Amino acid sequence: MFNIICVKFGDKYSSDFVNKLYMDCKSEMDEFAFHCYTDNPTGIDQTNINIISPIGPTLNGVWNKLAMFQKEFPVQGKKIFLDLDVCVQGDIIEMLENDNHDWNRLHLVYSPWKDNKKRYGRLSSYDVVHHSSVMVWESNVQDIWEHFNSGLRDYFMRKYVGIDRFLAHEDIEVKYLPEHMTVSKKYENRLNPHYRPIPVIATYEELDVQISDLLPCT
Amino acid sequence: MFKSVIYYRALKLCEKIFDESQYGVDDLYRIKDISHCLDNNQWHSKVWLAQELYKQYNHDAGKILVVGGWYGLMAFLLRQQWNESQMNIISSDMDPMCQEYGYKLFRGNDIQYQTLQVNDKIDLSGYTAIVNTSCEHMEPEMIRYLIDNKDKDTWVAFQTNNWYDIQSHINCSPSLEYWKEELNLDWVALEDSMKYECYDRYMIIGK
Repeated sequence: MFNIICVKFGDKYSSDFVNKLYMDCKSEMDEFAFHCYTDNPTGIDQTNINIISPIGPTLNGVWNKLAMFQKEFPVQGKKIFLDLDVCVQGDIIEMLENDNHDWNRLHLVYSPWKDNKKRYGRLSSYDVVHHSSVMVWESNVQDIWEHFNSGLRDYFMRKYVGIDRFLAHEDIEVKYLPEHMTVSKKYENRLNPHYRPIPVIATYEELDVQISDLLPCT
Repeated sequence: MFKSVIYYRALKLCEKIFDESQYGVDDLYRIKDISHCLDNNQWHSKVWLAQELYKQYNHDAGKILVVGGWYGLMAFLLRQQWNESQMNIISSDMDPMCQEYGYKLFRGNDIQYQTLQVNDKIDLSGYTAIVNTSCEHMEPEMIRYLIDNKDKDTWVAFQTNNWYDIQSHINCSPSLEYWKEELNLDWVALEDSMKYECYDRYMIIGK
């Protein structure tokens, strides 16, 4: 069984984003379980969406994404994490399976445009060439959680703006999803102008989005 | 000891951290962290606690445990109040580097450093006061553990704030009244708040 997981903590995104993400997935894929790791399930379609309540230490905002890597996290099998501000517009599972995906390594979105700070003027990104709007794994992630909790948890949360930088600068071994799998709405016009297959996921990282912005991008 | 001595040591420590980044551990964020730990708000709020606890405690001897003590500023300022060695002062933090850098910043002040994670295994017996100015960084259950497992007559002097925007602040309180109710001490000697630019800082001293 494939598992699609989203994380909703705090009030940055409403439950409508969770329900829409589920509906997007349902319209593109058949066999999967959909989970939402959340501190507030109010408004979430609990008929179709499995609610996972907080486990482990209290975390804020994006740091809750790391909680999925603890061994107590109650989802077994192949996992696809999606940020709430992504738009699913194709069959993610089929694409990964056709790609002979290595589920034993954590995969993130490759975002090479981040390494050019002069061009894009984003100082905080210049040495991190991935982002975690989409993460895919089955195993071998517990070390990440254990490292995060090795006594420096509070220090890491002060040091790093978010988990992308934590993963990059703590030398966590990650792999990248196929470039044609995702498209960044912010940067789509800045990269590979001659190579633009239809991606199965559009990501909206670094953008403030309303639910109405998350329209199919094909 | 003058503030300028501490600041000078902090600058020299930052030099060492930079040098280390060239040849060993590359962790330049420590420089910013050390700068933060000595900024005016930190200094001001910790002097406030040290002076008020000193008034309430009203005794020369004992053993104070500072939990979440960071690089040791709180312990140093307690030592300015209790400058005799019959008061033992221990600065603890879960981050092992706090011990090393704390000693470099505040050496010569008779402060013991410990790497200590506040959990349900720590032994609190023998302490006459427990100081925690990092309640906003700690799980509510751990704060509760400190209160429930200390000796009955042990003082607590705690601070927290309502600065929810900071990612590492996992346990802020919306108001002093709310927090007082949450702590539920047997006896409160002092409850007060202090307004800072971005947040309010709350302090409760009691048993």
